[in-house]
Amino acid sequence: MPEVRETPRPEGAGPGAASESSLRVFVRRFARNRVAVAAVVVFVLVALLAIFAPWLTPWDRDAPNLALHDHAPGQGHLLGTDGLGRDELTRLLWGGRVSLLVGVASTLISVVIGIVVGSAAGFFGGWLDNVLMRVVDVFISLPQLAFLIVVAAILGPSVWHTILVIGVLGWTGVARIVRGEILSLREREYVEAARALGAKSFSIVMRHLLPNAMAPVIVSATLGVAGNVILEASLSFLGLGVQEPIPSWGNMLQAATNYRVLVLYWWEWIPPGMMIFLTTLSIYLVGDAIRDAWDPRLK
Amino acid sequence: MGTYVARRLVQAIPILLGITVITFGLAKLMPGDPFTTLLNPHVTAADLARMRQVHGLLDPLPIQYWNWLKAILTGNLGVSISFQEPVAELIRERVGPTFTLSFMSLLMTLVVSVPVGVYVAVRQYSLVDYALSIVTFMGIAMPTFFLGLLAIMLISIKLGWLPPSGVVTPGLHAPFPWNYGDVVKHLFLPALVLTFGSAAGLVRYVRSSMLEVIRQDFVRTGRAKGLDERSVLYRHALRNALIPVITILGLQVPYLFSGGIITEYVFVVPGIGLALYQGILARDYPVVMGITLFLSVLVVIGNLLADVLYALVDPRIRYD
Repeated sequence: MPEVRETPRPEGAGPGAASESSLRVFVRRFARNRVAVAAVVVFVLVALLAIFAPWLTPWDRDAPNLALHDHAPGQGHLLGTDGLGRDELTRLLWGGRVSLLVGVASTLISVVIGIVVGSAAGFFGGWLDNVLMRVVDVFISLPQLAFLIVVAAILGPSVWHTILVIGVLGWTGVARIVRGEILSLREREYVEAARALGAKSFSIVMRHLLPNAMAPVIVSATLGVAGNVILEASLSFLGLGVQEPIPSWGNMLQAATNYRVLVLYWWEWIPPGMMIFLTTLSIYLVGDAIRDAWDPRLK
Repeated sequence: MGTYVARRLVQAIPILLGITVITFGLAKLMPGDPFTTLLNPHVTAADLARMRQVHGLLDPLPIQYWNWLKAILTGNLGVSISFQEPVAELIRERVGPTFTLSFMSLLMTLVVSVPVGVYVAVRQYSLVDYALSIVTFMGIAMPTFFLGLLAIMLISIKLGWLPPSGVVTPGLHAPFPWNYGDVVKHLFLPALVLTFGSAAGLVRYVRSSMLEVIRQDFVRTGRAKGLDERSVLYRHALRNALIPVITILGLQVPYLFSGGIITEYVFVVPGIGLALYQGILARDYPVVMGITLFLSVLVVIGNLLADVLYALVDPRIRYD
């Protein structure tokens, strides 16, 4: 692969510079993008619905009511009931909690690992950089979903294992970004000045390099959340992620692998599918708008 | 050029070794071994211990790894317990449907995304451009299994246009080349579903690559000397814009074989992905190890191929 050349960002081109005015510039540019603002509204709405799930519907999440199974919307069940007579809407809202939790928490794990590995490789260089980047190469070469499935099968399916698996296998992108940013920043004069003043390596990385490398990391993390929501849904859909009776949008869609449900009971699988779609779409649009507002040339 | 290829090949070796270490480690982490499932009452604990001894399962891990590595280098991926056949054989059988499916989808992806990408690049900031940008995000955000289920319900069941699952019509016994029409008919819907997502990504890529190229001087020169727009765009600009697209295509090579595990699951296509899934459910470790290893090696080969092609097509890249 030919060397990727880093395009230097102009000084003060992002809130990374931390001055209030540039943050205001960012907000103003972002607010001008009406699609992105709409996407933020959708995402906040989904998040609120998930957070307040326990108080939004009168039904119990797991209580079966076999007398009223596979019931079409009506009779106090706005989205009908599932095969065990549980309220679909209640499970949909609770499912949002799980899906968003997995999406966000696993991304946090990836970002932390990525930052540690990326800054170590970029700052210290030499053999450490070489070794770490070969590790990245190995991880990138692992077929993502296949490995997720294998590891999930070893650990046994659960919410926390799903978070762990997705997080631990997804850090390579952030590591590469951070490494590149730090490589391009570490020779700047202000870093040299900090070094001349006697700053330790750790504080140079933490206080002088990382804050300036955060812009692309935040964009990548935002897009990562969307990707991880889909990964969680895929794993749970295959029965290797979040398990019944805990609902997640992915395992709710499992119902549709049953021919009868697929054809006759649309309310049991189309709503969770639409929620995954709307959530990831809004996150992608927001991430794209953040990138645009930060620095249009990053696009 | 020769040295560049050689160097990239050498660089791939530690990556491949790393992959084998991880695959081996995962297999060792999985609970049980092939003899745990042997529930023959006539086999005593002492017999089991002796069989483990004979098969090297009691050796130190590095030695076990070394023996396993020697075996896979000779193409021996072990024997599947649940499929009752060598894993290499299983992979060979399952590659066909997966490859056909992915190849169809790759072809459709290219046919759709290159012209569309060029079209919107030329009309940057137009209404079409904005609308398409949102559509492409929809394509990326749409989970394949949801789209697949929707497609099965609408197109296969409600409209009855295409078969909902499998690769061949049951009972239709036509030998390999003659059943291709039937196979294509069965795989068209899953291929379409795969295309939706990958075309969305590629359109964005072609668009931004094209935007970069049409701002360059040689394009202006082409227009200035009176070439018509068509030939400027397609003969001069597109050629250069497609160079970075090669990298993306290289990344698709492993996808050609692993396809969508999920798509194969939803449409019940008996390919590699479905075999992996069945292997996992059956705790059939040789299958799981063999297929993950196979897929990882393909990723490495795909990357290698992309890099080499890239250097071959773009004379501006120095490969020393």
